[in-house]
Amino acid sequence: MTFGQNGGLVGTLCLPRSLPDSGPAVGQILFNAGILHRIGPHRLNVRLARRLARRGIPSIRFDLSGLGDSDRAGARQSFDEQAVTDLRSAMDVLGREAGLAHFALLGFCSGGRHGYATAVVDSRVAGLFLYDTFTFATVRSRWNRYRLRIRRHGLRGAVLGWARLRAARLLGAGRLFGSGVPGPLPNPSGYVNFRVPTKEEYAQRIRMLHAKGVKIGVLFSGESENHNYRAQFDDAFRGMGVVEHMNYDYMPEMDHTVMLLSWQTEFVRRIETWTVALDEELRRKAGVPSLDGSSG
Amino acid sequence: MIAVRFGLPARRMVGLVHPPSGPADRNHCVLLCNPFGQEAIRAHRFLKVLADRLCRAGFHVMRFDYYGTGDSEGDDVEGDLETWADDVLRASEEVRLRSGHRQVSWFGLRLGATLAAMASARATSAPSQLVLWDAVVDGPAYLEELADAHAAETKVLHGTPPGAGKRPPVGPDGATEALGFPLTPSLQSQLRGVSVSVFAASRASGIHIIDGGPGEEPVLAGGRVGTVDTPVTVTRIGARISWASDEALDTAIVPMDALQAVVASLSRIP
Repeated sequence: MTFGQNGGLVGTLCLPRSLPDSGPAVGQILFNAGILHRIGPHRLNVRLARRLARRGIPSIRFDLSGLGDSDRAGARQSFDEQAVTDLRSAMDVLGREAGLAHFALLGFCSGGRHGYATAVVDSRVAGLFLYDTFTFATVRSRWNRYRLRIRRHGLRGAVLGWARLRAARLLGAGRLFGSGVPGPLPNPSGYVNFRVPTKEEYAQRIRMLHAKGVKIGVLFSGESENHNYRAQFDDAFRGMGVVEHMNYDYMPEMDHTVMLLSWQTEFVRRIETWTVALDEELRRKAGVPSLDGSSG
Repeated sequence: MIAVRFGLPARRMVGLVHPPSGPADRNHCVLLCNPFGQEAIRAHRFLKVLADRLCRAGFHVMRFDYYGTGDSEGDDVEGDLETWADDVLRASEEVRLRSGHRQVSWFGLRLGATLAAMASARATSAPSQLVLWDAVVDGPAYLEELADAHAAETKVLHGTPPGAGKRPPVGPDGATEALGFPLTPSLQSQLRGVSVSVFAASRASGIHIIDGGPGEEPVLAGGRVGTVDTPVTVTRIGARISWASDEALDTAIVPMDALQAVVASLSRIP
């Protein structure tokens, strides 16, 4: 289907075969991971959408403006501002088609920051899942990163890489996405001038979303050089009221794009479980039966 | 651009139709045939841009996902070469019906080129022009290439020492995977049977080969394609593109020389 301003956005609705009388409580919004089109890395979004539909949860997977099959938007908004507008349009469409008032956003990699931005400005966002989005360095993660670089590139390669990075920083080039230090992002899809939140800003945002009742899921693969041990979030945000307000997990053997089929199955299962739990939570709050027929 | 669903009730597919957007209507359709698996993910943007260029040049264009791929119905394990070649025929019929034009040409990239060649041999009405870019000509070599690419990615992803990349696991029934997509025993078996003979049996009023291989002559050139009297032309472009790579999150591959070669070859059709 096409939707959004001038019908420039392209998306695919995936609705359950039958909806309960009370209607579903939440719909899942799936969108681009980096510049990959809406089917997701290795068709993950399609598989996830169909699994959710079997559990009674509708979804839409769509391409943000200028990505996949969607048209570029006018120049009135930046890429990041436009992404928020697009996500809100997707919620409008799914809400209309499935009778929904609440939504979960799955932000995959750089897509996470669009979900992060949208959750603040749109009260319909009831759940936000961030996958490999925003890393926050600790002393231990830096040490781990140097060890990993030496293992990957050898001592000479690691030192040369470090020197190149330092030179690039001195020359004012951007940092890679999610490095934990504020800075502009180099990215071919228009992801420029995006400032990675500071630890304090992120903590404040998470606490604020939690206070609004937004369920937050955070998952890291084992591929990131910058997020590289299970307790990293605990260490980074100790005493800041962050980790206790989210479902956090770290899958050290899984690669960033979830390439292996066995990991794809696990990844989809985790997002499905998280979304179904959100749906049940919203039902409990509203006093309507859960999708499996049990009440409360 | 119009999203359409088509195909048999048990084999529904999704297509995107791009009507002519320029001043001219060539009364001619073009069907774009995707590569397989990760190569299709990497090629998506190219095919979108190609469709836009062709419809601006007056063609009625359709892109589509084979059954069990992309947005189409079906699981990833439900596809194989024989049924996907039939999907090409159904998609071709669909774009003809929707456009009202009788003439249709097919463009195929990588395994999509192979499927287009296979489909043309069984088509009731052969396509006007077959445009084939970096076709998969040697099935066993293609399977090796996928396994090597998979191993290379695991090496990069998991930080293993050089040479320690893992080839994909093989199940007891022979099922395996490559770069995030399953390779069923039947698909592997059919791929092993792919050779230049597939292209020798292809039927079209003309065949245009786009080859990015450096140095040697294009594998498909030299009269080994199509029936004896089929005119075959060749365009050599810059360099061969590594479609089989997991590095796709932030890289769009839209080589201008390939784009121009495809549009030019189709624009020559009278």
